[in-house]
Amino acid sequence: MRRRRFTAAAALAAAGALVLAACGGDDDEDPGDSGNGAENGAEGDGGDPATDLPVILGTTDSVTNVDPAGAYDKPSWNIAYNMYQRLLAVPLGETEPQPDAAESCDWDDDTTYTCTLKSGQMFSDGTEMTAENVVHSVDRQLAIEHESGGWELLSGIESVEATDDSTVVFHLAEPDATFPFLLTTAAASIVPLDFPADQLQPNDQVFGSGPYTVESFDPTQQIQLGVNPNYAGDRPINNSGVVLQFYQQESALKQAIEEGEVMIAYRSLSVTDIADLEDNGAERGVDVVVGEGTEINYMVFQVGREPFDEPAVRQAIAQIIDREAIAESVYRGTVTPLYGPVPEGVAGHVPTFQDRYGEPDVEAAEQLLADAGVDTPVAFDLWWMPDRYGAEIADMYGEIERQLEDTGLFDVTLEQLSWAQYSTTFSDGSMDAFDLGWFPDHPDPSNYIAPFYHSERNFLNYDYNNEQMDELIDVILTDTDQDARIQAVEQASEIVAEDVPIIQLWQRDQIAAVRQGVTGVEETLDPSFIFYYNVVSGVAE
Amino acid sequence: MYLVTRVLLFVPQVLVILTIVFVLMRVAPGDPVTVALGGQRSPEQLAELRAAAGYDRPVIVQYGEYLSGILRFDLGTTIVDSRPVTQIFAVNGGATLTLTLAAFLVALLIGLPLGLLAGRYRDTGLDASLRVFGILTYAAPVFFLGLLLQLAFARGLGWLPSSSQASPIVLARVPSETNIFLLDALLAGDTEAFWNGLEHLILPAVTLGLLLSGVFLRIVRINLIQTLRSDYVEAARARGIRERRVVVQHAFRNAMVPFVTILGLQVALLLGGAILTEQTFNWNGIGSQLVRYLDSRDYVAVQGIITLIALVVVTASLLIDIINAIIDPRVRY
Repeated sequence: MRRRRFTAAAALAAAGALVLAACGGDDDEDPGDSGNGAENGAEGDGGDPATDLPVILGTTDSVTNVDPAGAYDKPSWNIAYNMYQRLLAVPLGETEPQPDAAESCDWDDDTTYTCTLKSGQMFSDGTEMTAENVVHSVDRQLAIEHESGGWELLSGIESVEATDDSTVVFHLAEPDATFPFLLTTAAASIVPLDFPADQLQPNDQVFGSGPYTVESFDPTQQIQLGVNPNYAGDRPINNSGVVLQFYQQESALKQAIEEGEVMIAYRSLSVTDIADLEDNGAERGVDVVVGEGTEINYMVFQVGREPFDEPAVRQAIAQIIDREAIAESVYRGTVTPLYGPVPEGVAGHVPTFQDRYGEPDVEAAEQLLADAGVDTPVAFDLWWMPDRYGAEIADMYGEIERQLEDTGLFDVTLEQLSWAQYSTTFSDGSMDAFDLGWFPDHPDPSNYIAPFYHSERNFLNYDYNNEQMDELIDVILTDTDQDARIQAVEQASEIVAEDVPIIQLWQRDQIAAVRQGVTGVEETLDPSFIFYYNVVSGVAE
Repeated sequence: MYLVTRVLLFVPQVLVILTIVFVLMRVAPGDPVTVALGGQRSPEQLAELRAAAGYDRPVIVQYGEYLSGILRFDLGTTIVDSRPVTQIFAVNGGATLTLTLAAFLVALLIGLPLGLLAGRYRDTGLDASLRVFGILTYAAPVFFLGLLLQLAFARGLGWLPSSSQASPIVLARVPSETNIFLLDALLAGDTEAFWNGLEHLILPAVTLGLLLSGVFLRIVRINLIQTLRSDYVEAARARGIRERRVVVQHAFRNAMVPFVTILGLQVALLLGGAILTEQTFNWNGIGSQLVRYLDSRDYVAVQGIITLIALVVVTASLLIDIINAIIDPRVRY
């Protein structure tokens, strides 16, 4: 009997605890503060409340590795950008590389690039950065050759040497005008000599010389970054650290920002949720911040065989597709129509498709096909994947199918594959036309031209071949005269609009939902696609 | 003898389950490495990874290695992020344990008294209402019920948080010693964090607990009705013992024996429901990890997690049978 009473009492106590917990909140609190509103102040030390607090950022992204030799994905790289210094970096709001850990960098000749380090740059363990660290960082990237593939960005380096403590010299296998941009990527992050030369440093033991250092690492739930007390770089740090909270579902992320559990929701909220927050977020204490984005989505044609071996067929499609309708009706304005290979915000952007084809025009498309003697309707398979670039892709291709078939000129069969199969299939030539997306490695326009349109060095394996384009790409990649390079990019863009091996559809804005009172997010959503945590601060209201 | 037989039967039971898991994973098209990493690695790298993981060997050899791995408690290493599967259980198991125990408690607190009432007042309006409640809670999809509760108590009334084990800032400040957040908060002496964790636990625990409470309610009700028809209950009434005492002390106590029997079966329901509940509430337990690895097509992780869940269910079933045999001697004969 006594035991039974104890059990019942324990059960009642537990139930009571649950009920009390439910009733324990302050009735006057914002619902969103049920979790963290009060706790936000717990870290403060009586200084500026805005900068004494950690930034709490919610995301649905997955972080794989924060050793720069072990990752080639945006979420992992973003942490690297905040943890490590590079010799060069693209500062906020700019598009050209500037010194970061380097005092200066310059070409000695076409294949020799020399950098001098700033003095006094320190790793978070208190050791000083020297040129040996740069050599070690590059050498281990090339030695490890991690399957993620980031090391390939540095594969043009024939050798690297430290001529003294502060001078590092890169010898390239061949001229590469984009090399300074490659040094701005996370692949070129400078790591301590403690990192093994031939294997990765465990994620919970990484550290660098950047503004932040890892305090705890659980990519399934939360990663904590603390401020590096030895950071000697130029970036001001407006907070006391960063908490990255991971959510598996976009809907959960939206709830978290509405409830005030996180201060920022960045990558990714669904289009529907963004629209809802834009309309109603203010009354829930949430603002939507939009920044220029350089992620693009595009449609590739198999130009080596029917029906797309006939340029007029490709041009007719370019003449018909209504990008504005896609951006508005499918994406609710969260993407911007893209009319050329290089997105807006990147040097060399020219809306060549708009210049050449103007508004969607069915009669002009009909004329193009008639002039080329093409029988209509032209039938083809159009492939897309549901699990890579957002749920809206399905609606987008439904819209494209409708736009093309409504003209009576095309008979489109939509096909889909999961990314696992798609990724190995698109380059085998079996798809008539297919969708892909692109996140830039760096904001140089070469990143939008060279991998796509060179007859031998494109990753699409789609038989596109244009000698003039190849020559322009050589200029883009090797000419150190920036004006000449940009001019070549613009010419290449015109060729793309004429040949239409690829049709760019949109560039996606960077969108974050931010609690009112938090500042700095707008500043960091620039075309570099890097979220610099250090500029964010504020007390979520 | 019963107990020995039951324990011996455990072995073929486990073997059958493990074989089913192994076969199901092999029936899926493509090998795990290609499915998870195809398109991200060169064919040569994929071949190397396949060879390293042993997928180029005959299926029977793989099966033998799979079984021997389980004996060594080695369930492999995930493909997408190189985590030992056992580490997933160590890190994320605490969250699932917390959720399932809390849900079980909720189910008991709701299902037992309501079942008792429904049985005692059989065929009354109260009984009919409770039976409808039991059917609805059992039949309602967990994620749907979870979303309704989120809408009502988080979004609508703003009383409770809708996701995660605790607020991010609280999670950040409590050191993880046991991977059971509430316990960690207590060990850290952080009562504010403990209450925060309890707040976050309520909605998922009630969601999952309601699912189970419908089952409990119906089983307690039917067993109580049958017990109330027994001769010894009639005899107790004939002796003038008060009805309340007859029901609570005599009938209810005996009605609990078959209830214990079905508890073993409910472990599977509980864990299955936990997967959906964790997904709905962004609860970082084993279920959400299972979904995450399914999304990544990491069959090694999926196989390992399903294997361990299956072992937990079979072991729980064994334990319940043993307990049942101890409290009800008739089972042994």
